[in-house]
Amino acid sequence: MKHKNFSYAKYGYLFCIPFVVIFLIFSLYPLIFTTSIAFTNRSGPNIPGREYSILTTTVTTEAGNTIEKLDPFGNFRLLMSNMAFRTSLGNTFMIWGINFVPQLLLALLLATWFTSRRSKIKGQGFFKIVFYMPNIITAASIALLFRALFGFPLGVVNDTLILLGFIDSPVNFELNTLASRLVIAFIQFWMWYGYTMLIIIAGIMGINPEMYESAEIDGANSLQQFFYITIPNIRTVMLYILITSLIGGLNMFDIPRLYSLGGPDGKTQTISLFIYGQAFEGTYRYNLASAASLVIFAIIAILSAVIFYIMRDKDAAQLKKMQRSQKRAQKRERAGVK
Amino acid sequence: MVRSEKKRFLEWITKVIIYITCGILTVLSLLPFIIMIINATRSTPEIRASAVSLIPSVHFFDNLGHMERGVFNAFVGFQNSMIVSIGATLCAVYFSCLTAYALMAYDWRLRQPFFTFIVAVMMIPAQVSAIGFYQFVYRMDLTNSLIPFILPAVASPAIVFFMRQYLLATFSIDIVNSARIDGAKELYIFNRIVLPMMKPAMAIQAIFVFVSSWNNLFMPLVLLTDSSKFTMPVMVSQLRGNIYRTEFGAIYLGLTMSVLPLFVVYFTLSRYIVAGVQLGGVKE
Repeated sequence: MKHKNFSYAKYGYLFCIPFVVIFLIFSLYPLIFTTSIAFTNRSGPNIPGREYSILTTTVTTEAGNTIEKLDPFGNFRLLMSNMAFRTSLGNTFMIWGINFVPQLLLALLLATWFTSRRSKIKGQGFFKIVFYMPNIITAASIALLFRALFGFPLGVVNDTLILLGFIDSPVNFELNTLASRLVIAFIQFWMWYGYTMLIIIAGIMGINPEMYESAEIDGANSLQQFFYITIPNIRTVMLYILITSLIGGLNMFDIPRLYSLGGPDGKTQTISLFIYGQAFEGTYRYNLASAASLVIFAIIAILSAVIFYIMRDKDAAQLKKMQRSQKRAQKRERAGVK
Repeated sequence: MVRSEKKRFLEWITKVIIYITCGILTVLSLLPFIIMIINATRSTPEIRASAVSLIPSVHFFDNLGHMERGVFNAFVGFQNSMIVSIGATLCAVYFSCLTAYALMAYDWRLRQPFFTFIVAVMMIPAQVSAIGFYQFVYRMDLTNSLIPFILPAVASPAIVFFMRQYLLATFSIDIVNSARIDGAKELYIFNRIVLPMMKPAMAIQAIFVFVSSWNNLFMPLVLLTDSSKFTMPVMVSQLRGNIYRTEFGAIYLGLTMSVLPLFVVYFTLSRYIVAGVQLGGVKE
């Protein structure tokens, strides 16, 4: 049997070739290319034959003559002192935060309601379908739809607010920093709470029902059950949601791009918009944009490592550990026998 | 007795609150789209008079005429998006199954490291290497081609991961071995025996690849400059242009046309989609 397996092993390699080749060409190479650009003076449009080199800086030596010295991290230093980059970093985290906290809370509430065994909610299937629906729809279209709804001087929201008597004259939401951020955060919230709810429901369904049953016998009310059974048992699920949402938030592009173009005054400019603007909108500062991409990449890599660590198969890891210590013990035994 | 009555009343109140909340959220989910569809049939002067109306009007074709004066062309966008999404879906699903099968069925030396690698790169979004990708595609002279949106789907680590999880639960090597005894070739076994077994997982992943590929804006916006190659989201981004500044009806109509195919897909497959989201959540 072992011999047979050996002869089939080559198919394992063969069947992975398409994946590996395409990955090397379209994922790894661009990533390495981006990384290398981040350390060079590559800016300006693509001009054939133009050479690019690693950044240098001129330093005056003690003897008084100037020499060229390699300065590969120049772009990163430039980036850190770049106000637009720092604002976009802050904006990204702020907009993400305003959307994520209520999103998680509402999703938790809905998930608890939908999984409650005491009050069986009718029409659950319908509600799940409707709440998740905005997540499927093109973000670009949604951004422009909300732009039309929040239009000035004429838009659905302005019309409604005047009709209800909240305001006397139309508000120009586009020029208001807080309003712009809130609307973008709201769109994110509105598109994603259904997804988060579904994931949490799946997490709650994975909890052993006996735990709730015995809690009920012990006289725990639903609030106690929520805090002492549900929350501790879906901690990993919530961490997963937190980190994937953060990674998604760091790449937020479509909605701020089409809803507000980063305005007013760069107050809704996200990192992705910054990168896009630096590289592809006339300035061609590929090096600075690449450096910014690498910063994002580093943040995402750390976040992925965290999720990789918490999601790892704990039983399998335990088993491996035991096997290893067993082997070591056997070795020691054998050595002792000798 | 009084206590149980009070309890029943509390439960009733909770239920009312739940249904009211769900009702409000349902309206919140649907209303923007309803306003959009109705306004797509209303003329700009009508929308100017009142932006909200629940009664459709008759100016659909006028709006269509206004819309077609600009760059926005729903049919070209639809066609290009279809090519990209179907191509990417086929590539992603077939080759992810093949890679997952290689990880499950064969015992090769780099199997475990390769799987670890796939999990490690799973979370990296394509956007972080966008500049290198653009430069590379530019050099290959593939800007304004749809290939850069289709071919990379062959290497989709997250889908390989999902497919492997699915095989882990359902796959047995015995079937493969008996087919081998019958003299079947390895690729034939995969295509004719293993692939049909994976249909449920393939269906779920196909929907998600299709939708995310359809909705992708960043890379197409970077790479496409020829309006005959624009995908739907890039077409939509054109609705922000000056030509449409005052044509509200045309904007609503354009948005409606961009969203309609997704509505059709979603509401026909919604039950599977919702189940698929929950499955993905448990597995990961």
